[in-house]
Amino acid sequence: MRNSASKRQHPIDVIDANGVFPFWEITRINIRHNALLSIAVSVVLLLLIPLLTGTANLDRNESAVPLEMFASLIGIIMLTPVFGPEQNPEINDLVSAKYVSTEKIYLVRTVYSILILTLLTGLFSLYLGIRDCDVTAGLFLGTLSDAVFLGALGMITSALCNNTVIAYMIPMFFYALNYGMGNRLGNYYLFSMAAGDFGPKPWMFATGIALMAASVLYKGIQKKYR
Amino acid sequence: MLFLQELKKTVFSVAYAVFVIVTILSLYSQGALDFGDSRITMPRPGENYGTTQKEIPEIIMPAALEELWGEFCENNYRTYPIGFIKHVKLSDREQQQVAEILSEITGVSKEEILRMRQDYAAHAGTGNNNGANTDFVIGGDGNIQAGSDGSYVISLPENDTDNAQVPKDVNDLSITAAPETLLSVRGDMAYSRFRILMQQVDDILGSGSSYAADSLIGFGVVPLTYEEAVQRYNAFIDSDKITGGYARLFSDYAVAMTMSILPVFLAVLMCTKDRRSKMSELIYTRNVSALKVILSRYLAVITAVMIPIILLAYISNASVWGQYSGSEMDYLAPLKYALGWIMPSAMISAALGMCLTELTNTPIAIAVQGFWWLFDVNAGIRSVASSYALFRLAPRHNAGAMSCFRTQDYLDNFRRLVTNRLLFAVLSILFIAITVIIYEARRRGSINEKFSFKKTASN
Repeated sequence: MRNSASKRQHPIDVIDANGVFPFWEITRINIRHNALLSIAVSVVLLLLIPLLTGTANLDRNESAVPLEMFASLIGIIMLTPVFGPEQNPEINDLVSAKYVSTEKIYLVRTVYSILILTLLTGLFSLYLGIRDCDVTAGLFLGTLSDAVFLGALGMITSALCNNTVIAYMIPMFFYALNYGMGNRLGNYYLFSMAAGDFGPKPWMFATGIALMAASVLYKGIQKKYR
Repeated sequence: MLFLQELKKTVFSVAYAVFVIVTILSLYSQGALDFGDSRITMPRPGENYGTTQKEIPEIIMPAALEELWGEFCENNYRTYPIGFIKHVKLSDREQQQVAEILSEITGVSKEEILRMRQDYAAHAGTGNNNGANTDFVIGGDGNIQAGSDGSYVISLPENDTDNAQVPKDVNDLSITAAPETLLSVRGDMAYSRFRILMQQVDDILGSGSSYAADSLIGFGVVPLTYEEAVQRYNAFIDSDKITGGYARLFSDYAVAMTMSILPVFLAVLMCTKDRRSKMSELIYTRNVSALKVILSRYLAVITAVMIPIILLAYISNASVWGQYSGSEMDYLAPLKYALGWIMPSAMISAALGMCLTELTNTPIAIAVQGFWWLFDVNAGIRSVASSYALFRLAPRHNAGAMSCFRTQDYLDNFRRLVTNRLLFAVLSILFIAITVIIYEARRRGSINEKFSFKKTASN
């Protein structure tokens, strides 16, 4: 049985009155204070895609263009600011004094950001499907992998530099690099599905998850030895 | 001096180090830092000089008709509104309009054209696809070759040489339809009228198609003659003074890959730095005008981003100097192109970044500039004209040594480039003026931290 003293020693094990970690409560508050702008910008980007490229009557390879070249960018928008609020020293001090560990807050933000970008990518894929595009589950998952990878690049940069603005630069640079270098990027070529190649996508997804884990871990270590 | 302080603050930041590294990597990945293996030599007779596009009605009209007929039959038109493919499916009424245009071009009645389309659809439906794309041929399987006298000769495979229908030079060129085909361009069709009709098709499709009047030239691909190749080479030597072509190619990459997007990051960072370090209020109370603070900051960002670009432009350009030793070269070309071509893009990127950051206190400028850059870079380089369009954030001239840097295209569009660059410079100054006003308003407390105008007693 847990007592109040052990709770103080292990703040990571915080639970609510019902014995459940308040994931939804933290999510709700964080979305309201931190994620609304990112969600709005992501939605605007998705709404702009039909102006950039065709979104009707596309075959499988052509359907990959709006998905991997544009929709995947919402990964940068949603995931890069995960560490943003605590980069303000005052907020960081305040959050550090709270019972719930900062790492858990980061994890919650990462999880809901991935859920939102999955939802938005899914809705956009559905939109393409309704407009007679040959969208498959593979295309959807491939786009998600790109988004996770790009977002993870932003997260790791943000963790290392402690600055969200700089963190946006790296995934944007990598995205621009894909225009110039093409499939010379091998398993990290973002636009491979347009050529019918799904091979790089598992690599991107795995690397993305690894980078996310590394960035949250690094933030924890950084806090411990600060 | 405030400018030097701001410059020091910019240059000694992590963001600036990232900016420099990213810029170098971007340009290196494009091969724009070393043009060492691209020496251009005087063309020699008998070589292959590549192709060019020419407005030759006899080539353009049948080729455009062929493509339009194919797309009409499938009701699947390809357009490229900003560089990416967009499939357009027309309504029955719009298809009727295209049929009318096809009727005028070919002289075949609209009803007959619609019947032929139905036949096509029936064939396609049964898998017996005598696709419209195969119904039109220009000179069978032959190739168009430039003659030494500037004419165009169609050479044929051995077994077709007895085909008396085939035109022998460009003056005799006309569409040669396959035996089963009934459609061809009407003999008395004037090219000017053809252009108007094709523009109407483009309008029906919502623009961005190959049928737009200024895109029709894309159907007129012909080999470059020896004389034209020499002319092109001379333009490179005389007008570009060699180094100009390389500096232009460097600018093309630099402006598209880095300088129309990266300065916004530095601008946003510089504007948020005071707030992050809780210095805003202190600076607000200093006896320095808002104009001086903002202008110093802006000039510091522009200076900081331009210094490495000018250095890289010279590194890139110097990589070919040794190959042309003894020739007359313009050693100021990299500087001229950096200041004239690249800097206005950096200016607008930084100015927009500062303006929106001061206005909203958020990094929203990154998203705005990012969207703009995304649109612009994907607008592609469909035609030379669109590459120098008035509102192009990053004017493009992606022509390397293979095409002798297309100096003449650059010269033909020089005035448009100047107009574009001046417009962006003026817009940047306008954004900075707005930033000064916002900064002053914040200083006086007319705008609070969350961008809501206070209803003060003075109001």
